[in-house]
Amino acid sequence: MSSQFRFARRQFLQRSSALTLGLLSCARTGLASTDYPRADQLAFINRLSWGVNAKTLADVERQGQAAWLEAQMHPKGEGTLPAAIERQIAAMTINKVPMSLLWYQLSEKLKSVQKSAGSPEQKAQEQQNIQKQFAAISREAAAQQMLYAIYSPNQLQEQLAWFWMNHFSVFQEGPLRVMMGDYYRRVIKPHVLGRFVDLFRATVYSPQMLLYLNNAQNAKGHINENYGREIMELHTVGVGSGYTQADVTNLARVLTGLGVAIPGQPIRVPPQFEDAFWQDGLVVFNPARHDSDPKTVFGHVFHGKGLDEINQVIEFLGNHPATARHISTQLAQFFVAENPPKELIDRMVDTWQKSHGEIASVLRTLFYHREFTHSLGKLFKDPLHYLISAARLLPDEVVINHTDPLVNWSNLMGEALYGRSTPDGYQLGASHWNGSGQMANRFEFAGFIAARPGALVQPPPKVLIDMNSPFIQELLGSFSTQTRKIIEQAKNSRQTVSLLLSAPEFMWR
Amino acid sequence: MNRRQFLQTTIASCIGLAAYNSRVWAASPSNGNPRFLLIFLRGGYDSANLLVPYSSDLYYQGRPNIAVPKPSEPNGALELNSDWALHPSLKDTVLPLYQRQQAAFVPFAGTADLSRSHFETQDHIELGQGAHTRDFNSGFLNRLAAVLHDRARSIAFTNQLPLSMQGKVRIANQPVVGKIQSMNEAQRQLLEQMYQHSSLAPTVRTAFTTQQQVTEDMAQMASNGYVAEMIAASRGAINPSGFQAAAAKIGVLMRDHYNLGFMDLGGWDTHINQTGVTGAEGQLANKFAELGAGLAVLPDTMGKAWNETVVVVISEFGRTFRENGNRGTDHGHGSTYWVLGGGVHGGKIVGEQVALSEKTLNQNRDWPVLTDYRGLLGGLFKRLWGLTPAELQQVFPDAKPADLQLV
Repeated sequence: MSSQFRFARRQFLQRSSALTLGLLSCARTGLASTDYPRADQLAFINRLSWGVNAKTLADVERQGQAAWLEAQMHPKGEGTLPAAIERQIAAMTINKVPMSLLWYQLSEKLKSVQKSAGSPEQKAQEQQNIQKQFAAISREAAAQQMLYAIYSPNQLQEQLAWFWMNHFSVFQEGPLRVMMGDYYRRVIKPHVLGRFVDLFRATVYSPQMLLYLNNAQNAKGHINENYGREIMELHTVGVGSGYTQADVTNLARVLTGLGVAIPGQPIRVPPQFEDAFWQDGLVVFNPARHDSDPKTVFGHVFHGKGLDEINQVIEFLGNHPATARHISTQLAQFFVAENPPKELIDRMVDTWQKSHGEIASVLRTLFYHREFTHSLGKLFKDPLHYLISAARLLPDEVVINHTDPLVNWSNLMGEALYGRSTPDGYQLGASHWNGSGQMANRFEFAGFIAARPGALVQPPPKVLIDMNSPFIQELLGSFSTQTRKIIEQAKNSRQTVSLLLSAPEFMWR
Repeated sequence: MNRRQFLQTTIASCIGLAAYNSRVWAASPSNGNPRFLLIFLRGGYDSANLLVPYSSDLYYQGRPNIAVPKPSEPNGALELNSDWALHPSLKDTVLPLYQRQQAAFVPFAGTADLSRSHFETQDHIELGQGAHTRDFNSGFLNRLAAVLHDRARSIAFTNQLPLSMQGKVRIANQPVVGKIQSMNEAQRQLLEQMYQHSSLAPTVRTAFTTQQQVTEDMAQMASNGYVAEMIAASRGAINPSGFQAAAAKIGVLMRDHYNLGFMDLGGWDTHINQTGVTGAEGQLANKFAELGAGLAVLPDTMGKAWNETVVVVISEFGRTFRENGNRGTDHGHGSTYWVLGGGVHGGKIVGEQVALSEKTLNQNRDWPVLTDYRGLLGGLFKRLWGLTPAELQQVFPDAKPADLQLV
């Protein structure tokens, strides 16, 4: 069977005609598609997507790199997925029942079990059942995000959704387990390419962040500094930007009163505070808990005006020059190199200032920088990039309807969605992911998935990845002679798939 | 107990001083081949039901439903001295080790972190940094491996590299719970060839070597009938994919290949129904039994190497001294750490102690921390590997090693 493979590099669609087609759609940016530094097509797609796939390759071939990239930076809402995938997602409990109701129902069940007269063993059993329901709902959120990452045409949007969720990392524990789908789709995704300050604001006003970093418990006289500290250290200006412990405490004081309405628990507000009370969904501002004395954060004085003051501090920190540098550096680490050159960061910061922190503009500076082109293919895939890029090699007509293996392997490989317990998010550098245990896991995954096409797709397809398709041939053509030589030695189609997914070239993006 | 004083630390230390100078370790790295295994009980185990302060009235008042009965009562705790007794589920496993002076307990141990958050406290412990630094990419076991340099052969027996082992030194991880997968020889050869020109070639070779070592050791154990014998001896009580089987694998791997290991066990967050009719039975008792059974196989599997091994069992915090309304306990502070090993000067309860009363409890809620884990572990590392003060500062910045005369 392997003798049928033709590894010679094939030319697909004419690239010259694709470039011409791209011209029109690029006009509004003033960038002719030919301006885009020509980069290796597969490497270019691999970096800007969750992994090269047949459909994305065809899109780029048709539109040209510049036009495709420009469209990626201005997605209109969420991408449309194949109908069968849309149906899977629509059928999920998280997309049918509001999260506040899920939270309420499950916590009420837990309470009634605790109060019930059953034996300790019965109670333990019932508790376990409820915990399983929590877990099932949290798996839905992970499955949903995986499916979007695999199938959405808005690949840059999906990569950034993960990037920003990792930047504003929330670990799912307790009731947060029913809230992660909402965090991904409602809180983060709409803002991933917009102004940074809007994204930051969305997280400040999210019940997920307020719960995770304990601002729900932060009140006048009972200051909880957890969230204030992480905003400064991780979310905005960054460690080393010169803030002090007093700045952290004062930021925490600014944030007092912003919390979460626990479903089923009434919030008591004294009459004199009723006018200033505010609620939007699960998020509440309770003025009775707010510290209304003036406070100084990072050299800026905030006067006690409740929500206004919180909005001011969001603008102040979200637009701070130190934030521009901190965030630009992280974007460059994700898209260029673990230690990006200062000159690139300087340019991104410059664009940040001119565009008032518009992420798409800052990214355009990055994508058009020579360092970006030079770095293509040189970033080691983290486990999620590895797993999702593997799933993206399936032919379009083979629809994944069992996501559990992907979710399980991402847990096993150490990069579970919503599974980073510390608020810093997963590390981006290769050294965190290219250890021996990780490589063993990847080889094992490759073998597992090749041997059991039915694990992801039911009814099982004959082959999971069509080695004879022009797309896979093109991909193999980009691998080294040595790798291709080894793949040709495979004894059957399953071993071929397993070797393809184990190839050194497939470990990089 | 509230009326009596415990052993004075000073007395405990004096006993240790002269008697054990000639035991396995001198403070010189050239002697022997010390091994250290850290077992982390994630979830904050209820240490007051492990090392039971049975002379304390407050203990029995505060735990009307979940206390472990006194040693004099049926199914009672196992008396260790006039104040402390061990959970009865450890009668055939850890008690004999204690009696052979190969196990010691350190009550009132823990960290200064008072957040009572699992994750914050676990991270705090695993990072083990000074008060003013928080680098999420520098765990204390990784810093220890860095200090030991080529003397360290480190491994995590977990699915993922724990925070304590993350950092500059590249440390392998190899899970030992359940079946260990081994790749067939043909596939392995193809993969090695595939990677021969790749920068990842050494990593891939390490992956296969580790896997091969583990599977060969396991095969050897199986052919010796060791695992089968162990499972038979337990009359079916031992789950072959449980901790006892894992511990046997760890024992062999630490005996033959590694000297710095990490393992963790979850499921200790017993907010509800932690016991049966009394604290002697139920969920927590079963957990102790499984842990004890695992620890007890180490001397046999490790053979002579057990004499050079120190195992420390820790947890992020203890739990409330009084039971809650659900026959469980909530997040507390001070815990009890276990120190085991063939060369450990055990058979005693060590470290500073206080009589338990409403006043001596931390916030009248849980145990105070009187022995900082960094001092305890730093002191052990110092003795095991003859670390200099500068090296110890690298492992645990701003911490003073405590000499509890355990090794």
